[in-house]
Amino acid sequence: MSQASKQYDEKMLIAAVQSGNTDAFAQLIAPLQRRIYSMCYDLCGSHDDAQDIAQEAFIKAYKGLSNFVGDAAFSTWLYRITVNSWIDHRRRNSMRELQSDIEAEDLLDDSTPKPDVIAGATILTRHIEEAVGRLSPQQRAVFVLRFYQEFTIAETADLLNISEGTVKTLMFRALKKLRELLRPYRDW
Amino acid sequence: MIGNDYVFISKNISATKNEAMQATDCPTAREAISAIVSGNFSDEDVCIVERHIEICSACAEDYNSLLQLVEILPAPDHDAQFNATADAAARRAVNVARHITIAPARIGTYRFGSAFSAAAMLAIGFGLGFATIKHVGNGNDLQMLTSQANNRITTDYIDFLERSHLLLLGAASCNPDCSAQDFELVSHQRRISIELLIEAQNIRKLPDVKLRPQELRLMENIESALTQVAAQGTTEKYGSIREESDAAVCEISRRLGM
Repeated sequence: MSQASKQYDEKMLIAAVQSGNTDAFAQLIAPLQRRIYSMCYDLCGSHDDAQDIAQEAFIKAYKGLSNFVGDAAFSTWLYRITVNSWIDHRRRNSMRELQSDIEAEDLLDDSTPKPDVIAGATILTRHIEEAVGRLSPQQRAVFVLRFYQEFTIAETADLLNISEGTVKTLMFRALKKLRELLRPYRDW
Repeated sequence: MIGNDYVFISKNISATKNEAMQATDCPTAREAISAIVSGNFSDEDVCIVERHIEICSACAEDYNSLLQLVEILPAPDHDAQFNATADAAARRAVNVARHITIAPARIGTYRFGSAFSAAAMLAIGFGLGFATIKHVGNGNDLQMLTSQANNRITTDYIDFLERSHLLLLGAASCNPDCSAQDFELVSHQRRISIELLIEAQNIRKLPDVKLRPQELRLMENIESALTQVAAQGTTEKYGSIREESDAAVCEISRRLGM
């Protein structure tokens, strides 16, 4: 299907949803739902929370479609809603996040077995996941959107409503923090 | 002459270094390093970094180590489970959306009314006109309705539930697979429609809906109430049945600490 054809279909579907057709909404989000879900998972690191955030984002999108004027692509608009839903979710669960941080710290402290004891790529992957989980929300958002979701720096800035310079600065800090957190497992 | 040349060259080098330092101070260089190691960079970024790391060992070290770091970063493991879970989240959202109108004037209004439930409603004889349920509250209702009560309980939240007679929602929403049921259960708690309870029975029969034990017991109570209403064919005993169901709801709410 050509890009123009896709856009036409998308506009038709949006118009249908705006007139109250929920089946059209299901069709509209179908091509994006996996991406949205994976974004939620990468941002929050939990399947349960990812489901909640994705669901909330979809519902917000449905509710807000009457205000969607089409100055941006529907997908971009939905990604932005998703990021905002994740931010809201974090705010609501700040206490639980704090607990998670403490637990993550426990996992990464000096008592954690070193790679020579538990070698393997899987273990390193787990350490990386845990380290990503310990980034500040902003650092994590920037890191995930750029490295995992492969948005460009400009797109990441747009989604987070910050400047490209800030994205780069946050990303630099995120990478340095990851490097420090992973230093016990790598030589650099 | 040699001395003069040295001074001239030395001055030139200093000027170049100063220029490079000014043009590529550490914060600017870090932004460019960030762009390069993330793979989204311009020629200017490369130029800035190349010039800067010649004169700044700290940034040079950062640059090299971060390049090594990104090499070991794994691609996110989005396995097949993602498709199913993403589908479930989208499906639940669409289920909720079916009960919401998006026209601004009607936000906060939930529409129900399948042919089946309408027929059931008429058969039961309530005659209360349940096709539209006007939901009390404000624009935050939707967020409230989609909240997971087990980890988002606040005083405001409980107040809202109590004000809106939505306490039961907390019990139902503890089950992440039961978004559509929220509406049925809320409706029952608000004592305005029995048609939705019948619908809830149908939802329960769907294979992908998992109810918790206490919710199963609640559903059994509701089914029992429905059976009695159906047997009566009238609404005379609805009051006592409603009390029975409400007692079950209270029990669940108590168990959940709401």
